[in-house]
Amino acid sequence: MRGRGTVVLGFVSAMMLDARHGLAQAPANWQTSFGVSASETKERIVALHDHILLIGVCIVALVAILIGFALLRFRASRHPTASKVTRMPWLEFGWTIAPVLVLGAIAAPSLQLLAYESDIPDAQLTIKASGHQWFWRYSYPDNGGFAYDSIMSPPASVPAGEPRLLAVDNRMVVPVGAVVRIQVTSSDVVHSFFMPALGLQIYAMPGRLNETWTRVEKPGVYYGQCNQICGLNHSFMPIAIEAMAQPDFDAWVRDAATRYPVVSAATISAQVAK
Amino acid sequence: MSKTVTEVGGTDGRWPVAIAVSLFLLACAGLALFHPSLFGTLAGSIAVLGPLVIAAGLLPLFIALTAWSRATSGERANSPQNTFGPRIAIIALIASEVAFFAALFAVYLRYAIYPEIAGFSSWPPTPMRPDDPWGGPLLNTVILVASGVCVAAAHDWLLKERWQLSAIGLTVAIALGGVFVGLQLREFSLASVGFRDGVYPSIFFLTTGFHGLHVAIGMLLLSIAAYRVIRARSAGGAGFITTVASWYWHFVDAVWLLLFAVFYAWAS
Amino acid sequence: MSTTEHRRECRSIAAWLFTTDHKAIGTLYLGFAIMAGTLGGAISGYMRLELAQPGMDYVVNGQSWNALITAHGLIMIFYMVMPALIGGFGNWFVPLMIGARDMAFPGLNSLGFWLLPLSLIMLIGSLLVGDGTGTGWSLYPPLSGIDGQPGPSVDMTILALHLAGISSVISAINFVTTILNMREDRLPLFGMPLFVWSILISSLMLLLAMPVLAAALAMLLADRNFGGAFFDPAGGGDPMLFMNLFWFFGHPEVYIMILPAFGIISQIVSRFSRRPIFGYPGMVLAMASIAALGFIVWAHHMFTVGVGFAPRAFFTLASMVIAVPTGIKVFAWIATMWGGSIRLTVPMLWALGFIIMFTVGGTTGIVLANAGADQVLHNTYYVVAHFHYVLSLGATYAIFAGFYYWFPRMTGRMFPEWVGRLHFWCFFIGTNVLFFPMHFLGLAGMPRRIADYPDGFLGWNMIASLGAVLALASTLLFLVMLAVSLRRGAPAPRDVWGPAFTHEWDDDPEMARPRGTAGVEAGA
Ligand code: HEM
Ligand SMILES: [Cu+2]
Ligand SMILES: [Cu+2]
Repeated sequence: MRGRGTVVLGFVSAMMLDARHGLAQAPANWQTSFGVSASETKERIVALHDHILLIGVCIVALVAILIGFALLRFRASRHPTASKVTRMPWLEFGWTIAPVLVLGAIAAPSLQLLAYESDIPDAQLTIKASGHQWFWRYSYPDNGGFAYDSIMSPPASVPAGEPRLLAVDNRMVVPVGAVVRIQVTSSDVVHSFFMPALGLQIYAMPGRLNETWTRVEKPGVYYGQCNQICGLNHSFMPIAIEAMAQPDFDAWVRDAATRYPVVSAATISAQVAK
Repeated sequence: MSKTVTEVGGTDGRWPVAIAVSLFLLACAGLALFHPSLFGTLAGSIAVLGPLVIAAGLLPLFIALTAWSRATSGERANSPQNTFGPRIAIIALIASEVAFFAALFAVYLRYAIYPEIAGFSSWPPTPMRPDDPWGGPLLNTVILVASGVCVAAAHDWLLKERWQLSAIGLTVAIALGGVFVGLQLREFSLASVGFRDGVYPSIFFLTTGFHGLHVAIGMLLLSIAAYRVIRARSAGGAGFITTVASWYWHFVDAVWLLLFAVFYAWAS
Repeated sequence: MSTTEHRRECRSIAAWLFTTDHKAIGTLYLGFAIMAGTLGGAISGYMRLELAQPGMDYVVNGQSWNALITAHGLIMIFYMVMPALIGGFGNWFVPLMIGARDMAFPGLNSLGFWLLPLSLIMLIGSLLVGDGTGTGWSLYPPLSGIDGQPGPSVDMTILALHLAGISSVISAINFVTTILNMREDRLPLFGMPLFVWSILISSLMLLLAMPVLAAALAMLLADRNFGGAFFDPAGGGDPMLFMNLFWFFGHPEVYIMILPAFGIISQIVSRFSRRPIFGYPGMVLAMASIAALGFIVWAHHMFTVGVGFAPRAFFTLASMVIAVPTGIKVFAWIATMWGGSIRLTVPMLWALGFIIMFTVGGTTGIVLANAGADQVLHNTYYVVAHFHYVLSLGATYAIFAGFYYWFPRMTGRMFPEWVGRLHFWCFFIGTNVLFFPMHFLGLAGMPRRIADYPDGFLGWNMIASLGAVLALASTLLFLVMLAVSLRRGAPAPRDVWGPAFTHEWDDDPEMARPRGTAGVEAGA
């Protein structure tokens, strides 16, 4: 029976889960801001966000304080006759110019960040992620072109220590410290390749090949989810990226190349053309 | 304190409701066409009747519109005309139509300028070609421009109280419009590609098709104007509707000129 | 006319059905918006129930979940906010404020209204027939294409939106004509109340934005049913094209919804500060520039679609520029209060709630406008929080503000003040508890439009659902108050709110009567 009891239980267990997820890279309960940053991109995003947030908090506080103050000082009971002034050009000019300056202070770092994200450095590795209803297929064209599907682990059989709805059977694997170019496309509807810990998101568009890049700084397993409504199981097509040291990665590639079938470049481009 | 109400809407509230319902029925007719099975046992007959379903949906709309316009025309004839309001309304209506066609043109231009996005090396994608612009399309252009001249002349004559000439001008314009639509339909039926053959025919047929639909609406407006002129045997009762129809017709003309330039002349 | 006769007239269904009187039509719009809002609210209650804990406990499957969120969004936007702000208050008060006897085209006015309930029937039908439209309100193909959603639902949704679009364009034409042509003698454009300006500008935006949606939907319909290839990569089409068209409509649409709200807030702040609005010309110019800029920022909804640096930089900057005129409005409201003689009545309470909450939503809008940062925020609950702060805590607050403000004028009756205050505080606390934690969820990476979520998102979701309970309960309170006050409210005098600056208060308050415009003529 699911009822109030469950909710309360859930509440309590939610608070306890915190501790467990402290180490993992999955979202944690009661988190009030970004989770781990595992790439420089994400770190820069967080910095920009914090910068804007600070300004935003000041603006909201300013508005709230001014309103509160006006309410105190200019209540009808304390201030029975209203002023007749309706224009004050310098004031109006001021509140038009001030926001422009504030926005300038946001725009400059913002465009820098955008440029940083947009320039794809020379990549040591290219991985292709293709969205399908409802799983991801990763292929490694630089390493012989093997490809495999990454499907969510059914909730009943999630491996111990892994989060429900985020764990997958086969993760995308990348070497730590290497610039990885990720090409994203879709074979059916629009999906979105979203990996918060790395500060990555790009749509998987049928008929287009989108590109983005990342350099993972810390080894670990990072989770994300398909982030564009894509039908029945939109809630159930997570993305898991495992970052490991280069030698481990090389070993993984050798093993994977024998385990997974090779998908020819022709198949891939046929898929894109579709 | 209140100002003259410029009533085209009329005060009889029954027709608006009837029109709303018939538009709804039209939507249902479209739905029946797309998904006959929705309508259970009627499915078979709907599938067979096809476009007739749309006609069945259009019919109530047509009746309600006619009745409405008849119900309101008498009213307005009696009161001194303030046509500034209706003029604004027509300009607003045409502005929204411009936005509609702008969207269609934007889609076309987007593919024409960047065909590689759609995986084509040229636009229109080989082997598709629009008709030779200097044949049928040019003829169509001439016809439509000529009809535009007729309408302008008819409007002018009406202002000069020469209602007979005006009626003739309107009639000729309608006839030319009819020829245009006929030629367009012929071009469609002879076309080497069909709507289903990819994005180029899709945008080509949708845009020219919607333009044709607007020509038909314009002809309807011109017909009402001509009818009023002839029945009133004077310029008085029909001045405004003729203005409306002529503005609309010039708009439809202008869209065609752009269509001709972009879809035909430039494309080949 | 005797009272009994009046009563009979009001009760007659035919009278309401065939009325062309602007006040009666305004009342119809408001009643319709309340009903649609109740429906949309009920759906959202169900959604919050599902999201209160992990697991899929209530909805049948992901598709029906998707259909519900789509219906919720479309109903709230097209059948609640727009009809209330534009159709409802616009119809009631634009003619009264400018001294016109009625709208320019009373018949078209009625047509515009009656299309809406019929359109809503079509939309509800799409939810009931087959699998529903599981695409989100943005209807992106290929998911909305014939392979993605094979049933009739999407076609019904498209047809419903076509009907609603026709209705919007008709009423926009009507408002533009009325405002430009039927002002009382000597009322210059720059003497019009700001609410009238806001309706004028929203209507102009509607005229240019709605047809673009209509074109996009026509293409989608053609793709689905006639084998077109506009958005089908197999035929050379491109889904991104739909996104561009949709947002070219979609972003102006959000301002179409918020400008009339600005107008209402301006009237209320000025009235209850006992002074005309501060910086009137600036306020008008701010609205006009918001409208103009609103047409060149659409791609900020598409930062992650896969576009290059230059367009993203352009749309980042353009979007941020909108904050300038928006700021002008907020500061002018405060300046109006500053030095005024403020009465904290129920409508004023809602208006102040609007200003603060809208500022929060505008600030998160600025965060989202940065393409570089949007990369981790796009499509997360952060966006959900943003647009609910500007819509649920923005536009909806303005609707309640306007409703309480004009209720005495529209019904001739007063509502109990204490209920209005209780409603405000419950709704204020409820919606903030509901939507504020969504910022956290979004920052933590929770995608929107999911029916079940990883357990790490549990905490704040549970809180949000608790907030929803309070918000919905306070809405119920509002409905009950409405039902009671309509029948038993104390009679409202003409000067309920003290001296007025606008003309809608010139006549004695009274219930709208459904009648043809001819009736007005005879009575006037
Ligand atoms: C300062 C003004 C504003 C700015 C800079 C702004 C910016 C943005 C941006 C960048 C997004 C896209 C976020 C994303 O999908 O990644 C967005 C979404 C949205 N905004 Fe705003 N916004 C502003 C004001 C408003 C207002 C006034 C409204 C409505 C009344 C509004 C309603 C919405 C809605 C509904 C969405 C979500 C659309 C969807 O994806 O379904 N915004 N806003
Ligand atoms: Cu997906
Ligand atoms: Cu926007």
